[in-house]
Amino acid sequence: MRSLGISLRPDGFSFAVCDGSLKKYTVAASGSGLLPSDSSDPVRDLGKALAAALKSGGASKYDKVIIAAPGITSPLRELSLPFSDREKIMQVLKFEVESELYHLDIDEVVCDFLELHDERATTTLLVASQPKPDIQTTLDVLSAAGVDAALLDVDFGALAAYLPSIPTVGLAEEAEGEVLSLAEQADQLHGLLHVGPYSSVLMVFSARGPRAVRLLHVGYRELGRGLEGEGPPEVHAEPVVEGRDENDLHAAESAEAAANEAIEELMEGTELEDSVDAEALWGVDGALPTGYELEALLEEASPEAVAELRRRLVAEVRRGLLASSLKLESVTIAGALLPGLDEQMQQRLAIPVRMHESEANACPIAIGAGLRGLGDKTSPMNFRQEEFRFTKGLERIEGPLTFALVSLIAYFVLAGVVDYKVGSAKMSAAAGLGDRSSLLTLTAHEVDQLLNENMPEGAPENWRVRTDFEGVDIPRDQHIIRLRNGVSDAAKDLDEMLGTSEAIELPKSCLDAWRLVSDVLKRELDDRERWMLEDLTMNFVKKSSRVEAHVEVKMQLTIFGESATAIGEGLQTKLRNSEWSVGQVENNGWEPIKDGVGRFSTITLRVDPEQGSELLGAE
Amino acid sequence: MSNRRTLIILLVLVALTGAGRFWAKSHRTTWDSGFSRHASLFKSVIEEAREVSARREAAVYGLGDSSYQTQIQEFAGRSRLGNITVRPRGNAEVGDYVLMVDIENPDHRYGRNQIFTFLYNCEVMIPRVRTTSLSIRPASEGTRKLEPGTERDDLWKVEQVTFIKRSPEKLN
Repeated sequence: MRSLGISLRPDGFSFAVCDGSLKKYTVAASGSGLLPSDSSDPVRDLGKALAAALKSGGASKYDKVIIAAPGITSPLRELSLPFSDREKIMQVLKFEVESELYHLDIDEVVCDFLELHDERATTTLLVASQPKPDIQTTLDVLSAAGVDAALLDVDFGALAAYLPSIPTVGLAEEAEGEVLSLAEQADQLHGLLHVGPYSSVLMVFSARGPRAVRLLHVGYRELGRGLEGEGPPEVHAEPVVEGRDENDLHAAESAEAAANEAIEELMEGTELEDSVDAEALWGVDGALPTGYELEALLEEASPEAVAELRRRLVAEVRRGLLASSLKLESVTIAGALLPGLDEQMQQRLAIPVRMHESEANACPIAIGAGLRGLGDKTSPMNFRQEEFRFTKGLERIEGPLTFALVSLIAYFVLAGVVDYKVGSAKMSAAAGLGDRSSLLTLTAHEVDQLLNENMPEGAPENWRVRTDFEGVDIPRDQHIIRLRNGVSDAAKDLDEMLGTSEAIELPKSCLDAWRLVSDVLKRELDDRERWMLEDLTMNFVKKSSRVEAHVEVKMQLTIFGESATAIGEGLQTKLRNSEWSVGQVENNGWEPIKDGVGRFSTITLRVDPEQGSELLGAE
Repeated sequence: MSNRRTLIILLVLVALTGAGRFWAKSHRTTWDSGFSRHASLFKSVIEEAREVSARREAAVYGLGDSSYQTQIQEFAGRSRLGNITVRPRGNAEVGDYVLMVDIENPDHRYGRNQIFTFLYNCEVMIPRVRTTSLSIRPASEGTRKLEPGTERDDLWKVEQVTFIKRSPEKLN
């Protein structure tokens, strides 16, 4: 899997493509770019520069993309809650943090949190509140770059995913010459200082995860102040008084308050600054030039300015640590590696400090974002909430889609099994070869008995019909067809032997004629009155020039009852209207019988049995 | 495993199970109709086999002595008509072969079913034989015809029975 992590900054961007899995990955591609100082449309230019860099840097193909936006404008607050379920926390997060963000309209920020791993029994959260305009700026830059990301984190969230890549084991032992157990090592706190262009992040962590996070509003772009034109007055942090440890706690508190005020000033002053420099992204100091790389700034800046920056960074780190009352075993510096910063910090903090270069020299924040795409769960933050909710792509429907697919598979399997079982049962009942009660076996058995076992004496040998199916390689449903063909062939063979295979016109049958006539007699007379047949004569009449071949039926009938005449005439009508009746139905009149009530008559009609062949076949 | 890969695997599984379900459905449909076809063929094949069996028996009987008269006498015996005499006229191998039946017992009395069963067996069992003449009258009649409507038993005297066996070979 290829996961693209992009770290957006007000002065540029960096990206890294992590290829593989969370346990084993490589940085397949990485790169960075700067926003030109003379950009008239920073959003569009930054987006275009990002798109071009992704294309030229071999990062245009990826499975997932995670964005780390600058967290410089996100006030951080620590919050303790008695539960840890993310969904529940998200339901109450804004309500809980609103009182902490007195200077912000809670409806104008999107809040998310990172869980801090401390000794408290309750869940400690680091809540970040990203202003909605800044989220919109990030999305606009991405839109200009043609990148659509479902996850939008901030820089320190992505940095948290990078923590496992920071080498810490051995730093402390090396310094103090002690050998610690694994449990002790897991409890040890280390620091990661990521020096960024406008702000830096100090992250305190142990093997369990992040312990504390501080945003330091000091970045290496400070070195460029004054290099291009005149900017607004420099924003200075509260001066640090070194060597006064008893005042450090108070100083740290006041520094934090000053930092918050500085953020507020930055945010509140955005409109004012717009008049000065409307092109500054994410509300950073627009007076600081964006077109210089770190190396160029170090060359251009005076040694005093570099020393001042180092001093401010060390002081901010120390102040942050004192405010948190945390004792670190080591500090790792990443991001912009200012020469001499590690030595100065080690000297000031009295703990081992190392510079860290990430794999392929890629930005740690970009790698962290990429790792989150590979499945890292350290930071669950996603600022694409509320009106910024990601509504495109597969991710949006992957849950319902997965459920639907699994349901479909289950349905297919169940329905398939049922259909197969029912089909097989019917196959067995119809054509089961080993099943004595199957229709095929019963048919074969009956045919065997009728045509093979009860063969008359003196019968030709070839009269035997094959009824076994062994060694016959035909579809199962064809066996009975083969059996039927065998019987039909036997009938044909018999016809050929007897000379009855040719179709010739036979004489009309008196038997068939009587079957047709007697059927009408029964239907018309049986349910009405008692009747009796007195006489019957039938003769086949050959075809002549005047009449077709037919059977002449002459019968004398007696019908008892008062309505014998009407019944008899109705019978005549029925006989005349029958399809097999040819010509008129004649009688010699309905005469009364001598004894009793009734009438008799002799009826003569002509019958063509072939016209009634359907009726004869149906009987 | 990524979600996308999971979805692809699920889609492949859906395709496979769908194909399996389609096959099972067609299997069931095939044997739904197959069972009905077997049921109808079961009847028709056995009926045809019975007919062939009966015709074979009659054919073998006829082949043995080449006598249609004997067959007719045999069927008369089966229908309990008693002894009969068959008077042939014409050539059995060419054209119409007329077989006139005389009942030997002058006082015979038959039910209608007996008579028609005899005729039926002759027509079915002997190839190309048809009844071309039949005349029956009440058996209780003497020389004098009974008055119509007179109560009597449903027993009949056969006055005349004639069969014709038509051969494919026509008379020149």
